[in-house]
Amino acid sequence: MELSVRNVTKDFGGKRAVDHVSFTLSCGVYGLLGPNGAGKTTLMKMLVDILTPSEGEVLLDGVNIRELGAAYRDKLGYMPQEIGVYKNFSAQKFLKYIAALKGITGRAADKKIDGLLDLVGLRDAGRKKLGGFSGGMLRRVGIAQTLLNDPKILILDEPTAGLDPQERIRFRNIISELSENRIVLLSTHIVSDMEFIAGEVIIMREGGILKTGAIDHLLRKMEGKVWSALVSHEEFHRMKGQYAIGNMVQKNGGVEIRVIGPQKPPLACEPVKPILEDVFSYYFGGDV
Amino acid sequence: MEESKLVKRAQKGDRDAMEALIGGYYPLVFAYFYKNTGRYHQSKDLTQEVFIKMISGLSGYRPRAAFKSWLFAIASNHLKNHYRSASRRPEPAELSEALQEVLPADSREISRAELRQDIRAALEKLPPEQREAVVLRFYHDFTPREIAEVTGVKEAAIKSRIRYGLDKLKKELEGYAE
Amino acid sequence: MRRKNDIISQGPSKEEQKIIAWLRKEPVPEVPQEEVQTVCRTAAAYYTRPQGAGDAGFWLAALSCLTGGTALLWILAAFLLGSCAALSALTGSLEAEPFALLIALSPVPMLSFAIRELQYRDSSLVQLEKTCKYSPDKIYFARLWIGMAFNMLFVALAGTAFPRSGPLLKLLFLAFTAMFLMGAAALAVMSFLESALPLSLMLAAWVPGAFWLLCQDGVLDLLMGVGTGILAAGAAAGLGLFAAAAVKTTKRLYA
Repeated sequence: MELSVRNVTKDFGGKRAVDHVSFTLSCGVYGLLGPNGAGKTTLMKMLVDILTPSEGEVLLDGVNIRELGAAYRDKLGYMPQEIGVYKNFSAQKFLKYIAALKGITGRAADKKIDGLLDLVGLRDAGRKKLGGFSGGMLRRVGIAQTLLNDPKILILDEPTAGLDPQERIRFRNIISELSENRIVLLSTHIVSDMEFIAGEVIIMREGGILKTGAIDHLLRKMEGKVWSALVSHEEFHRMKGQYAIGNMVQKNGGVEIRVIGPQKPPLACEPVKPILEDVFSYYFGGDV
Repeated sequence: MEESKLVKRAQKGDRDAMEALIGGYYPLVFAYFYKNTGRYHQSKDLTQEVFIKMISGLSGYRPRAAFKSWLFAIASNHLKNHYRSASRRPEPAELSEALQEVLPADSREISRAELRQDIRAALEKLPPEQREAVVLRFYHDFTPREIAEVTGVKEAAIKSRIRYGLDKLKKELEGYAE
Repeated sequence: MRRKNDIISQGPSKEEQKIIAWLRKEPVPEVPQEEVQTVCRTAAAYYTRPQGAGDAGFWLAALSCLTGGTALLWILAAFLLGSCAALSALTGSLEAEPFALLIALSPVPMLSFAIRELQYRDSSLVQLEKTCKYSPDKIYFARLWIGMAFNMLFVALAGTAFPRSGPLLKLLFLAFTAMFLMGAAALAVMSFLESALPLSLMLAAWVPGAFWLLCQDGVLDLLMGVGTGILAAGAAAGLGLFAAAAVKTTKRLYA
């Protein structure tokens, strides 16, 4: 199974949100990384056919998804950035509604819903009204509804936003289990989540693709370009404008920073193993 | 099993019936694409895509049109879309495995092999719509009226395409046809 | 000189026959059977049931999408309660035609249904709904018709129980016409304003207003004097308007 994006562009009035993007996804987990406004959500909306591209096309196994229609949506699980729910509904009732829209009714739906509520840790809250759910709980309902129809293609927009660390680990495990024989594309600006789940990343900036590749490969290319140093606050402020600074931690006596660049910076520092956040900092100058 | 029964069962979701329909029409649809494009791998891709379209649109088929015509209409449309998108981006070169002929020692065999290559070359020189009409008429034995239904073009225009296509082939293959 | 398209009318020349024979004989490479089987399996996985009047699964999904049985029960209860309360007031103090009450109340279930739908509507949920297998616009359209069908059933059942002064069929046609026209008006308001308040105001104005009008001397008698055929045609026209409004509203809400 292959999901291909061919030269996809989206204009809103005079503004170009997605600019001639092309890539192909086959089974596995892919991360879509980029700062706010990079075009990730717009791209994802075109992948799930909520938005029509101004140019280009999205193909599944060579056939335009618009032509496939219900046949495509039957294979699709989508989690939007903003989860819309019926606030008066309980989690169970809401999932039953979405299941019906996905063509799953009766006992089969009930069984599926029970299993999914268990999976996302909401079994006890299944009968409570969604209006009383926290942001993290709503996100978990969002994850559950995505999986109702056992989709072969999962498009998840900021799935871990608002989840606490334990919930994020649970989510990562769910995705890792599911990724066999499925195409999973998830967008996030929590880079560390990406590193644990995704095999490949697509980095977007200003509507276009900046870089794509296997995470391992991108990290290998960063080797020898990341240094750790303990600097004073004054030094840190001086360096901010000159180098890409990654993670920084306040310590006794200064600030521990990760400096990313092609050459060793002129201060006492030692090379460290690069992480995905460093890749992001390198391309976006620390604008994570 | 009678084709109409097979189609009905496939429309109801019978997986075996669907696979039987696809298996039965695969060689014809593949040949259609191969004759039009001359490319083996590309023809396989296009054939698979047509059958995906066929299955996903199966509920839209009504028995008043012949199933073969309906299927070939999908194929014809798909071929047009393929040409349109191919014109926007460069196609990778593909050497058809069938054309990678090792020239035989026998001189008669050599001239047959050369004839095959020249027929292929002559077909590729035709404009796509004439090539399609000629292939549907003389390889798939569609009548001009059926070709008109398949391509969505008027019957008179189809007859012209066949005529002009054949005339061009005659010119290209002058040395052989005498 | 051969005329254009002679190949069709008179058959090919000898030269052309040779070329046609070569075309037929041009070898087509064979695709291995395992690959063909793979294509069969891959393509067959794209089968999906049609979404239409003939698909039982679609109607089951539409019924399941109705906001539970509670909505219908709520609507039915409101209708019955309203009828009983008004009837007891009527028999107690007024000389009024009970069937006028039925005609005035007949759009209540449909309007209540529409109000409830709008209260639940959420634009971010609409986006999620659009990615599901069953098109939300088709499901919504089906729900409108299910709602209207229940409305007709309630009115017909209630009509047989209400005391009346004229033929049942004529009175039912009047009630149905009121239902269809108000239903169409409600959908028009929904599609332009997308707010429950105007619908509630419409309902609040219609029931007493229609009841008062129908209770005026001679109004109901005048309507009952119209032929059954004409009343039936009026109901059919109302149904047509409702159907058109349903199509337009669905398109607007799920554009």
